[in-house]
Amino acid sequence: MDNDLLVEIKDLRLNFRTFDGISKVLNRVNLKIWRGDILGLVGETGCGKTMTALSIARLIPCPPGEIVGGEVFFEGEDVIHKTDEEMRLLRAQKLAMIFQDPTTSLNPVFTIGDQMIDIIGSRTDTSKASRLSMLGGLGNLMPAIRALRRGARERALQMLERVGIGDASERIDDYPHQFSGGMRQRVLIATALSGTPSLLIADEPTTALDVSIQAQILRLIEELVEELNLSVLLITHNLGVVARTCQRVAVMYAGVVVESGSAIDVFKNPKHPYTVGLMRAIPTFDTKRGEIKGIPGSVPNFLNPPPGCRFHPRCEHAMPRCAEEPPPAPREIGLVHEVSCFLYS
Amino acid sequence: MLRRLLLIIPVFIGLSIVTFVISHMVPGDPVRLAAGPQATAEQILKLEEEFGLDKPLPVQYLNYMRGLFKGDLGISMMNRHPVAMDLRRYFPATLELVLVSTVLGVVIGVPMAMAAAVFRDRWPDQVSRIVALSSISMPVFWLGMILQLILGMTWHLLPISGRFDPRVPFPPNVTGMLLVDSLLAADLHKFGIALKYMALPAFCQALFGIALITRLLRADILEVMERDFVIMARASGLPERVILFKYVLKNALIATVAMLGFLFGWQLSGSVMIETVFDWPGVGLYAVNSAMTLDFMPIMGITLFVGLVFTIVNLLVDISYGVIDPRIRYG
Amino acid sequence: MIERMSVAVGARGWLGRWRAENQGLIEEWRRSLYRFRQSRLSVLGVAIIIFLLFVAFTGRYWVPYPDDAGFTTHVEIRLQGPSRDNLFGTDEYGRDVFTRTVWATQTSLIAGTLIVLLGGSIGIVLGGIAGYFGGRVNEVIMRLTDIMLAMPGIFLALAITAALGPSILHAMLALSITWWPGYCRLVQAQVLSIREEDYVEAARGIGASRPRIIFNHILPNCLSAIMVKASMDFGFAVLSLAALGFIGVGAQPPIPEWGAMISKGREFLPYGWWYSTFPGIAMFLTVFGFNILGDGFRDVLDPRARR
Repeated sequence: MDNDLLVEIKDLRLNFRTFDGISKVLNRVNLKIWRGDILGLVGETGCGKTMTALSIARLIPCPPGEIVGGEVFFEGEDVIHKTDEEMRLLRAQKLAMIFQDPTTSLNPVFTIGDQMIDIIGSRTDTSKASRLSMLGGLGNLMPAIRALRRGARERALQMLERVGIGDASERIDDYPHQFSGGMRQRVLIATALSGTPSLLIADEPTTALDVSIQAQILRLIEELVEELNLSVLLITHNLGVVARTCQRVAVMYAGVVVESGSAIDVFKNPKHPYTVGLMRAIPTFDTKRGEIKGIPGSVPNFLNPPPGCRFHPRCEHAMPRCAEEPPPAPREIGLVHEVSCFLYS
Repeated sequence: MLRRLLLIIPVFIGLSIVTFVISHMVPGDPVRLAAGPQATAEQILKLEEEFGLDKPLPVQYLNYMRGLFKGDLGISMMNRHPVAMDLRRYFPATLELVLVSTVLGVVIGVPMAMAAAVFRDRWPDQVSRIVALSSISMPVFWLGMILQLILGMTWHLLPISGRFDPRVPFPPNVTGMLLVDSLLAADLHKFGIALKYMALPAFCQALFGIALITRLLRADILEVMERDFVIMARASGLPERVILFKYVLKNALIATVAMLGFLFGWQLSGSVMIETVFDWPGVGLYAVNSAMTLDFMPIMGITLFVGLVFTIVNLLVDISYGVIDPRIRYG
Repeated sequence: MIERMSVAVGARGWLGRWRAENQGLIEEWRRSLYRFRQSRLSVLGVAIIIFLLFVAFTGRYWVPYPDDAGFTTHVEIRLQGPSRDNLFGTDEYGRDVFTRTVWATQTSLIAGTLIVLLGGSIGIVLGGIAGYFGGRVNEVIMRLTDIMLAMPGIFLALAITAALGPSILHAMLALSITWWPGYCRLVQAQVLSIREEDYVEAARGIGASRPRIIFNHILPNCLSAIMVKASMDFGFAVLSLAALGFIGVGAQPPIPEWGAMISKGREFLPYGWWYSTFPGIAMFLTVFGFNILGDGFRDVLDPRARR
């Protein structure tokens, strides 16, 4: 395994048991994230981006989910077969995750200080972490826990100030509902990056925020990524954010990564018909009135997806093969640029 | 909040009117019943005068309300005691019973609910569901009798009825609640006796609470577990047991606290039957006896009193709800 | 079954139109039924209830001693334990406890139904009016509800029954009176929230008349909540009636009623254990069956409790 390869997802297949049947959410996902990489994962809502990210952290509840094929490697180690305890430590120490909605991501009945201390304190072994959290303030009665708590609180204050929350020492004892949306996202970023993670997974971190705040938050994330030398998986459906922030981009459609490569390459020279359609649909300054071209058809049903390549019903280059065989493994067609399409095999 | 407090007054007045009307709809003649079969016509008339029954109804009502403000709930026709005095004597017994059974309900119900939620759809969940359903379906007075039969009469493990050993004097009266008083007097022997007598009634009372808490808390826990902040906590690496016992539980319990008011009301209703079965000298038994003898002063007094207590408890529950949930407290 | 009915009525008829308009609702109901059938416990509940209904409605035709439901006496066999002739033993008049227990099934089921029906109807109507018209009307009705709810029902029912005179009819009436506030509150809250929904606005906007709005849009959405409550309430109604009977203000002799029988049986404990035990078991079974059903309904209809 390449030492610089942080995350490798190979042929991942994930099913979800729903009331109406089995939803084949991920259909052979292939993804690589290198150290120092800033990878944008784009696609329409519902195409499986979040599921892919959650799979890296093994946060998919199984049942009703079920991994039916493929492998996920983090720092060279097989994630799927780790024990629960190993995964917990991995999530605490190596991974940092930021989710979309800051309003619901924080526990409303505890102060943010309490929650941050809990999370910072969870980076040690489970029994200590449990005691630290469960005893809460009472933990200060035990010297070992008191030291941990104090250290955690200092770190929390430090991070809160770093993300731009002014009177951190007072606000740390406030409840989540006393913060605005943007501030809450800052708190979440502070919490996530308070340790020494290798990978930051940000799932649409700015989508739920006001437009004016979005830029601020994005900039904050960029600064921190550079400061902490993080690798990033940035999930978004906003191509503008990708163009601005990401080095590489992977395009997903209906549970498959159809194309990946450097951001410039993929944007300027899209190869997969879906990516081509996507790029074409972006209105530019020159686009004349009435010229916006969408992609005909609609997103497939995951319960009964079309056979073979899931994009073939909407693809103008579809060949008979596309309806019969599953799309091929990603093939390199340029420097770092990979496509998963019969057009290029 | 203030609005809630003020609203109690018209509700109370309305309640008093309702109970007044009801208790004076009595078709039988309570005075004659009280006077006994031997009474002469003039004795009956004198009795009527004594109880102010010769005045027109609205006047009677006003007199009653006037007395209410002074804390005078009227005189029972059966035993000539002031109703307020009898209530003061009987209420601590009922209160004690209700408190103990509520505590039992929580102590047994919460772990059961958690087990049912964590082991969802597996046998602990199914078992707790059946137990809960059975508890609610059980006619509480029947269960009490069966337990009396088996544990009391057949195996002689627990006393059959009453509140305390008739041969032993009560502990010095502080609250009127025997468990508390005996602890205050540091008398463990009496405490043990009180506990033994309370075991069966409290258990029967507690069943409903156990069932309710188990089912509702389980549903709340499951609902909270789906929320985003739980996924966030897990993604941040918090140990699973912290997530369950700290993060999920506090949220779920908040929703359950709201139910305590309802539970209290139910316990009060249940006390009517439990006290009848176990001869427990409380408000329930007092109510039954008064109803059977058409003694309308106590009926009114008890109804109003119980209504007041219930309303106050609900108000307290609402307040504590506001205190526990930081969103309301620091709105 | 709906398809067959609509073919019979004519696809263009009222039923057919309703079907077309409410595709979504029908689909949801079909799903709910499927989910319901999945739960073994719910199916058990339904089985129990079917059994009970059978016993209740046909009981008087096959009980061994139908006269024992009345005032007859057979002093020579009084207070005998369960035997081949008397499955559940005999009471103090020598009447067959089994016969009386079965007879009481019909009494209780009918009484329970009436209580919930009467209390529910009053409550639904009042709650609907309060929720729909809002304002003063709402205030008045809700204050009234508050007064009724300020007290645990049994006390009020006790007072009313004692005042009117002990009788099973009076007990039923009293219980109905204590039952309606629950429905009133439920429906009022539902109507209040639904009233503000967009689709009601839309209906009003295109000029739908008031009754149409109420019946076609608002009520169907309250229905599931009402059904869950009603199914759970039925068991409690039966229990409450028995409680009043137990105390002595409900069914009067010679009417066989479980609560009254259990109460009478107390006098003969511990010797005559069968007198109180069997009616109690019967009552437990009944309430248990309905509660399973209610629980199943709730699991299926209430999205929050969905498994």
